[in-house]
Order: sequence, then C-alpha cells, then structure tokens
Amino acid sequence: MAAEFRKCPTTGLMVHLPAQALIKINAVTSIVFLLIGGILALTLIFTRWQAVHLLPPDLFYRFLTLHGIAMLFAWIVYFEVAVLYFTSAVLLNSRLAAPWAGWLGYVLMTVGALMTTVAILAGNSDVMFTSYVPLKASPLYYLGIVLFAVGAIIACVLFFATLAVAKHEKTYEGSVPLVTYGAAAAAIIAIGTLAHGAIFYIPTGLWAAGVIPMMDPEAYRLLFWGFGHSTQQINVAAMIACWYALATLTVGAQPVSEKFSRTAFVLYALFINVASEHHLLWDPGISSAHKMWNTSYVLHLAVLASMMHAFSVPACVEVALRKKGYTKGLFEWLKKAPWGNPSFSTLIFSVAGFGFLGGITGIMYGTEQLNILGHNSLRVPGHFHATVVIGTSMAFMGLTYYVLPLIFQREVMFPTAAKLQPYFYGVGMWTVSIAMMFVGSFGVPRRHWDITLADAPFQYSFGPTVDLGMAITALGAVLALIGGAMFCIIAVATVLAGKKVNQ
Amino acid sequence: MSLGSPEKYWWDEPLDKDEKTWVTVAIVWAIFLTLYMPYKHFTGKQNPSQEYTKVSGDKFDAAVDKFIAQYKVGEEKGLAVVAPPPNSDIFIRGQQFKWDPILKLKKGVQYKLHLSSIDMNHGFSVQPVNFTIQVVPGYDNVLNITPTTSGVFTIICNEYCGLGHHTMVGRMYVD
Amino acid sequence: MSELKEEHRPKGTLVLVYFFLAVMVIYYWLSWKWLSELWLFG
Ligand code: HEM
Ligand SMILES: [Cu+2]
Ligand SMILES: [Cu+2]
Repeated sequence: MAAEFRKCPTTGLMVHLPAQALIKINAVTSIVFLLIGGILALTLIFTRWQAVHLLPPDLFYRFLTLHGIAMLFAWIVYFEVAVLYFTSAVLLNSRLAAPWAGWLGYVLMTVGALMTTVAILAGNSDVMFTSYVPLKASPLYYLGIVLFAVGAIIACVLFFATLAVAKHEKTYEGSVPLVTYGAAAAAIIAIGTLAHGAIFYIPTGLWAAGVIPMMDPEAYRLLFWGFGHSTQQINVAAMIACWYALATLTVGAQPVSEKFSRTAFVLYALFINVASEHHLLWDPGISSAHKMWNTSYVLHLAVLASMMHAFSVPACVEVALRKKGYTKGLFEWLKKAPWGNPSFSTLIFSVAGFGFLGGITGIMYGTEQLNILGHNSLRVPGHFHATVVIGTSMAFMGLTYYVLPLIFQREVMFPTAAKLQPYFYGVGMWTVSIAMMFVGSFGVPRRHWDITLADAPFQYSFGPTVDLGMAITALGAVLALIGGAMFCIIAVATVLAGKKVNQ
Repeated sequence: MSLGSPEKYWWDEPLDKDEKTWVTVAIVWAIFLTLYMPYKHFTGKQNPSQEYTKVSGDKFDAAVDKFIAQYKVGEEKGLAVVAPPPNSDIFIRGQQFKWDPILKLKKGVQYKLHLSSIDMNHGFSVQPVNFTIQVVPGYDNVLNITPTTSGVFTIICNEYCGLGHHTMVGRMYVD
Repeated sequence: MSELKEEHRPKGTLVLVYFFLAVMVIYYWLSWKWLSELWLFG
C-alpha cells in the first residue's frame, strides 16, 4: 500500500501515485485542447476583423463550432477533472477511491471529445456548440457529447467516493480544506448538470439519426441552457476554489473567515443553477413571471455569494501581505505584491476581470428587460470571454504553474517567459473582452461572417468606430494568443524536458 | 490555510465586522436587483412578449401571405412592401435567408407585431435602433410595438441559421 | 479575522469592493437609461 504513495518534499503531503497519473493525463489533455482552440481562435478573429477576412464562410462557422467545443467543453472540463482529483486525493493525503474508474471516465471523455471533433471537421455538423434544433448535426456529434458528459460524471462520483474513503480512513483531521469544499460545490453542480446534458442530448441525437421526431425548438432551447448555462456555474465554483488555492500558494494567505467563504459556496450549490433562462429573455413561449423568477437566482442569492467571494479573496491576500509588513496606507501591499510570480499576476487578472468585466455585464444582460440591448450581439462573447477565459481559464493557468513542480515534479522551464506570460494573456484578453462588448453595443452580431453585409440584398454600415473596435479586438487577440502560445509551450516543454525536482 | 483543514469547526468561527457590513450591503443590493425587475415590468414600457402562443409553420405562412395580400403597396428587391393601418396586426416571417415582407410603419403608432420562423431559429436585430428579439419556429412572438424614431431600418439576423446566415438582411421603414 | 491587529485589516480591499459596487450601480443605471431610449414593446 505505502509503495503507492510518495511524500511531497515541498508540502509534506502524501501523494497517491495512481491519482497523480490521472491528474497528469487530464491536465495534459486539457492543454492540448487549449492549443487547438487557440489556433482556431486565431483564424476566427482574423475572419471577423474584415480587413483580413481570413476564412471562407463555411470554415468560419465550422471552426467557430469547434472553438466552442474544444474550449468550453474539453479544455475546461479536463482541467476540472484534474482539479477534482487534486483536491480530493492529494489535499486529503488519501488514496483515490478507484483509479480504474478514473481511467474509465478519461477514456469515455476522450472517445467522446474525439467523436464530436471528427463530426464537426467532417463538415456535416456546422451547428455551433448550442446546436439549436432544427439545425441538425451528425448523430456522432451528440453521441460524443453524451459520452464526454458521462465520463465527467464518473470523475465527479470518484471525487465524492474519495472524500468518503479519506474520511473513513482518517487521512485528515477536522473539516476538509476550503479548496476541497469549493471543489465539492463544483462537483455537486456538475453531477446534476452533466446528467441533465447527457439525458437531453440522447433524444436530440436520435432525432438526428432519424429515429424519433424532433423536439419542440423552444423546449430544446430551455433544455440546452439548463445544461449549457449550468456548466458555466461549475466553472465559477471551480475557479473560485482555485483562487483560494492560488492565494495560499502565492502569498500564504489564510481565508479571513472559513465560515464566510464556505457559506458562499453553499449558496452556489443551492442557487446558482437557477438562472439558465437568462438566455431566453426575449424568447416566445415563456411567461415573464417565470423568466423573472428564474433569472433572479432566487433573490439574487448566487450574486450575493459572488459578492462575498469578491470580498474574501482579495481580503485574504491583503491580510497575508500586510502581515509581511506592507502596512503603509491603503495599497502598499498591492504595490509590493509578488507581481513577478506568474500565478500571482494571473490571480489578480482573473479576479478583477471576472468581477469588473464578466460579473457586472452579466448582471445587466441577465436582467429580463435589459437583455434586448445585447442579445446575440458581440456583447455576449465579450461577456463570457471575461468570465470563462479571464476568470476560469486564467485561474487554471495560474494553478498549472504549481501543478508542474508539485505533481509533474519538474521545474517550470523558461522562468522569464513564464513571468511575462500572464501579462500578454491578461492584457490581451481584457482588450478582447472590452472591445467585443464595445462593438457589440453598436449592434454588431455574434457568429457572423460578414458585417459589411456585402452579399445581402440591403446595405447597412456599422461605421468607422466599429471597424476600429474590430481592429482593436484583433490586436488584443494577438497579444492573448502570444500569451496562450507561451503558456502551452512552457507547460509542454516542462512536462517533457523540465529539470526533475529533487526528491 | 485554504489547502489544509481549518483549526476549529468552520461554522463556529465568528464573522468580523467588515464581513458583516459587506454582506449586509450585498444583501440589500441583491434584494434591490430582484425587486427592480418586476417593478420595471409594471411601470416600464419595454417588456418581452406577454402572449405566448404556439403557431405551426403552415398557419403562420398563411397568415403572413394574407397580411401581404391585404396591405401590399409595392415591391422592392423581390419582396413585398406592406403599409398596414395603425393598431393592426402586422407580421414578419423569418426564413433561410430572408425577412419578409418589408414593413412601412408610422412613428408613434402602436402595432401588434407577430414574429415567427418557418424553419430555423433567427435573430430579429433592428439597426440602428439596436434591439434584438428571438424568433423561434413553432412560436408566435407577439409584441405590441411602437416605433419612436423614424427612418430606414435594417433587420440583421443575429442567430446562426445556416451557411447563408450573414446574407439574411431585411428592411423596414418608419415615417 | 476578529483577532487581527488594526494595521493588518483589509482596508484596501474594502475600498476596492465599494468601488466595484459603485461601478455596478452606475452601469446598471446607465443600462436602464439606454433601454428607455428604445422603441416601446410590451
Ligand atoms: C486567445 C484566446 C481567445 C480568443 C482570441 C478568442 C476569440 C473568439 C472569437 C473571435 C470568437 C467568435 C465570436 C463570434 O463571432 O461570435 C469566440 C467565440 C467563443 N469562444 Fe473564444 N477566444 C479565445 C479563447 C477562448 C477560451 C479559452 C474559451 C473557453 C474557455 C473560449 C470560448 C469561446 C466560446 C464558448 C465561443 C462561442 C462559440 C459560439 O458562439 O458558438 N474562447 N472566441
Ligand atoms: Cu436567420
Ligand atoms: Cu441567421
């Protein structure tokens, strides 16, 4: 039994080797998809910036579909699975309850992801990741997503099984750590959401295969967002768990109040899944009363939870830095913070971007009446590149800089590049997000190949301000893509050739 | 440490005064947000459809054709131009890849707009006033609409509806 | 946190979160103003 463990020289934690292997494979796979998604993003933005207009329309819509799937499903969820194993087995000093189940989940996810990718590239599934019926993809497209979701559910169940094993075998004392607690909130949300997804994609796939009649289009939209939106809440909970982890790893922060932070996670687990109808606010077929009940997250209790974290994450960083002696004025601690540590700078970009860009605009676009101002415009991708890219993806990138030495046991290569990487990615993505929301406020549509409307029967020009805005979006994207490429190169090079950390 | 177990049972930790104030402020804001939506629903003049009727593609098609035959005043780019009387029921049909008919409306007059699609989802995005309404096949999105500005308006489809999506552009006139 | 010394209290964070709230309130208010300039629906 003991042979299955190694003692981590930095943290003193007992690391279960089968868990470590699963963390590695999931993390590596996630970064491969990040790379694929990033290359696609390059082609997308240089098509939307019409001074270049790179792709023909069919490839644009195809690559857009694949960018959504590769990024939002694959990159994010594989990394989340790694986080789940890390926060259960590793942080609790425990063995992973059933490594074979972890591998089963991994195989299902990978078969599924490849199936969907192949279906999209084959060219008969240009449906966007939302695949609103009556748009029809190849049956393989839906089957792939079902398999992927089932694989991810297995990972979540394994997480809880490991918590049970750790408790039973008394590998830790008292309550589980805050980060594990947050990951548990994410896993609770995930199980319900993914099961819902796996279930409603089955009739959709059967319809695509010609077996059963089509689902009602509005019912599909409601069911899709019950899945599509709620998966974003998994990301939020996982991201905030990562924030607390990063605050501890980078400046040694302690949660200012465990009760405060954990209560906020409980509010997430209870209420955050309610808001999926904010994608349907100007849809027919649903009453205003229902929309308002749904999008107000039950008295905005999930918004309340986010605002609690918005205080307690920076507060724990501030207190830790003040205790190091940076007590002058209001912000000496911020000035003297370890800005050269890529995980720290990433943390700040992530927290500030998620709150100011993603959170505030989310509250607005999610208000029943106000939604008409931004629905399906570039404001929407601007909003979610702030939440899911600046917020979640950057938090995961920041954590990667610690996963490399702690789990892969390799020293991070190219430390100077690593120091700069978050600034490229962070400044780039902030620019992309703000610029997209700006042009979106002029009514520029999302998912659109030609806003000059050259092939349309009627002409309309969005004007020079929008042209400039699109150019700035492209500029930000170039910075972000350089940062993204740096991240992938550093991570892959370290995994393959990094200097082994002394045992 | 957030990566280790807390020293005492977490629920027993008292809250600090800063946390208490912030959470109180946040609760007040959350309640305000929740109440302001229904408040605006009753006092505001921009609300989503209050009628949620289903309509089959065939029925909607027939209704649009009848509407066009009744009020047609001309043609432009192969599409009928229709000038309906004030307060009447008006129709716009979304289909791959056109919006028809072309409406001629009067500023400051209310109409009962019926929006539906006979194939895919479409996005009814009117520029430059800049608003978007979702168009879903099988559903009649009914809105009492009053144009408050005049001019030539462009309807851009902003819900992906197939490979010709970016050519789905319509017209509307308000004077 | 209650046992924190005065100089260790997160005063900067408090300023930041109130600033955050202020930005949110302003943006919310502006959005309703933008909405009111649209055509009428209902
Ligand atoms: C360098 C980084 C990135 C750039 C430059 C970028 C750029 C873009 C662009 C230009 C679009 C198309 C917008 C439109 O026409 O509607 C898009 C869509 C999207 N992106 Fe990204 N992106 C990046 C990273 C990411 C990441 C990391 C994620 C997820 C975690 C992500 C998720 C999405 C999603 C879900 C869509 C919507 C797809 C759809 O509308 O079906 N992106 N992105
Ligand atoms: Cu369309
Ligand atoms: Cu379209």
